[in-house]
Amino acid sequence: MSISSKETQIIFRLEKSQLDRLDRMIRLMGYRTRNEWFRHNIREFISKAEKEAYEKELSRLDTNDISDEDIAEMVKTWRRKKRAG
Amino acid sequence: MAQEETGRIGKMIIIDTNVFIAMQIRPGIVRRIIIDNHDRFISPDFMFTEAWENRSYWNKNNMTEDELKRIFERSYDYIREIPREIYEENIENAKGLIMDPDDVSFVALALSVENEGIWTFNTKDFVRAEITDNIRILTTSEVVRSIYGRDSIDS
Repeated sequence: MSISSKETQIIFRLEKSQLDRLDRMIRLMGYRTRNEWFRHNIREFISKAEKEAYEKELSRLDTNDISDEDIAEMVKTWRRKKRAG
Repeated sequence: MAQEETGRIGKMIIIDTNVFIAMQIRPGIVRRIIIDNHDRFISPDFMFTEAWENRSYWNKNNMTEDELKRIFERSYDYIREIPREIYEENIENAKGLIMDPDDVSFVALALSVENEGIWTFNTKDFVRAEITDNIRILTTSEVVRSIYGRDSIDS
């Protein structure tokens, strides 16, 4: 298998019995190769982790008990003030 | 990815400023929808400018400027910013349709790109037939139905 210059090969160590179980599950789940399974799961993991990290950051801005109407009014207020100069 | 999560492919949804602010400061369904479907949302550059310029209104926890800017800038990963050049040709048309001059860029954008509609908490500002004949104005419930194909985001 050739590796493109933009890719890095990663080597993992697993116990033989665990690798056998993994290979069985990879096949059952329809992946053709360990590489395909690994890439798919890495993408999913990164996407999920990034979302969680972003939500954690956003939670620092959280404001309790603010309704859609309150937020719409907030925007209207700043627009009115801008127009009033 | 959104398409994998929802199993549906759809047009872009334009986010109004009030929805963006809700995503920033309130946990719940608005934030969930946007973060889980980051490839579905766009907004005019005006929205990001307006929201940032008025951060003192919604930065209620008094985060520092640096912290706030870092979090704010991450929102560009979830809502694609559309530059004025893309919707400029429809600015004059939009001015004739909407009363609030600060809503002009949203209407102009909706007239300029293929889209599902404008998602806003302020649907009554967009009720004129001249607008609704050309642009769908979406409530949060309608956005849920459009993206998830059901009435709830819970499967």
